[in-house]
Amino acid sequence: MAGHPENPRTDSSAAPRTMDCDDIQRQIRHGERPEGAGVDRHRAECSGCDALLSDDHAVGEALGRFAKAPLDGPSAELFSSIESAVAKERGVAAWLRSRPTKTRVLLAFSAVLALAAFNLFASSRADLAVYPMLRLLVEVALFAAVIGSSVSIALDALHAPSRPASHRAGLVVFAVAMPFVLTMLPQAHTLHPAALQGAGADFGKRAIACFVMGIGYALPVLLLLRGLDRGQHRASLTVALAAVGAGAAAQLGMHLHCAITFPTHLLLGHATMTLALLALYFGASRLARAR
Amino acid sequence: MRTDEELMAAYVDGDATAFGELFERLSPVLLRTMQRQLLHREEATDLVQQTFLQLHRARNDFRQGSKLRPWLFTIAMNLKREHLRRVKRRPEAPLELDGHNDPAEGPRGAERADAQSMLKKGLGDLPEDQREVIVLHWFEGLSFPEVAEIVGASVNAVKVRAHRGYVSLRKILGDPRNPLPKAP
Repeated sequence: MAGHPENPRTDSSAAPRTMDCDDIQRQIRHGERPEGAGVDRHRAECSGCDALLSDDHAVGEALGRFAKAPLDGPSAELFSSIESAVAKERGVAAWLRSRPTKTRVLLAFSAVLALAAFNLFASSRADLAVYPMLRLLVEVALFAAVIGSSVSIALDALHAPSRPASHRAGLVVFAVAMPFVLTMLPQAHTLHPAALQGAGADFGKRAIACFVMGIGYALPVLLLLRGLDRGQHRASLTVALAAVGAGAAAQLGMHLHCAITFPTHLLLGHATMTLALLALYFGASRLARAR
Repeated sequence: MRTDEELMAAYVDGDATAFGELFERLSPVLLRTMQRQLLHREEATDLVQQTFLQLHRARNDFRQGSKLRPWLFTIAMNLKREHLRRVKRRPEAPLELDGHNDPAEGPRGAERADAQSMLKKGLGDLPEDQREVIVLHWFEGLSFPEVAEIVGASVNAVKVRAHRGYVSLRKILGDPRNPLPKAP
């Protein structure tokens, strides 16, 4: 059998040396049968190459032959369909999603930051002076962590290695559960009259008002995230992270705005927002699939 | 002749004809990879289409000095993985890859076709991360460092996946219930 120029066996002046995986696989690819003392020494140490060469080189030769099996090339229609898909990439949404990933993520964070800043400086909670500062910081940090993770994963570029589905599922579960857990903590304070609202006859009215206002905050963020998203074939869990990010942004905004500390109000009026957005997302996806 | 990277840079700068050249050069490789990942032709074609659409959408993310092929293969493999996750199934041996048996080879050709059929079944039974590495390394001729970049793992992890895949394939091909043709 003719030796390949890169084949270490062709150097007859040298003593047989131990080969490595690349040497062996290169020979198999060139239709050769790696043999000799160097190959045997490597096989003794490498279970993978041993598996390739066992049973009369069965796996290696089968892989080599399979690699040479002819396959049909792309059709002319494929290029036409890609060209027409690319031609449709016009308008604001196309411009947004074609921005570099850093810019897309920055745009999304800017929208969330603007929402938080508006509620902190222009429409802040009336009890800010008496609300326990450490608790507020921890709560804001938790919402910020959920927003940061979900938005950056939802807008992840496809040319970056994908994250395990378990990370994404874990994040969704954490983002949904975390606000509910926060409502189970002892009431933050009762030192301000505004904190005591929504606990009596006005409970329903105030809870609904907060919920509607929060969804009103979330929808533009969600629309922006959808506009920035490039995916078409993305797994539903990744797309759902946009709803999670928008829900957490809305809750952050409401947390900086609403002074009511009554736990049941927080449970029904605030903590349900992410869940509602997820239900909305999965309902819309199901409807779209049914059509 | 312009390199892949020069064509991509030209496309990012607005040269629309560069996209056609990139398609001509890279679509056969991508389609072949998708088909060898044991996807049906329609799915493979659809994923190639999606890959080029993503190339267009992500063109401003492509950094000068980077290699285009690993970049594009990463997009393609991510699309494939998410597609399989979405349809919630393992890939199957597609009909298109069956029966490449040259009649001129006689009974030997038939034996090889049997071995190929068993290999396809074996590849289909491998965990996705092992199959992916074997397909990219063996059938597309990518080095382990290139495969590592595409699948987002270390070179050592990629080698371990490949080796585990070979061991599993050996078990399947070496099963006495699947007698293998002897090499000439």
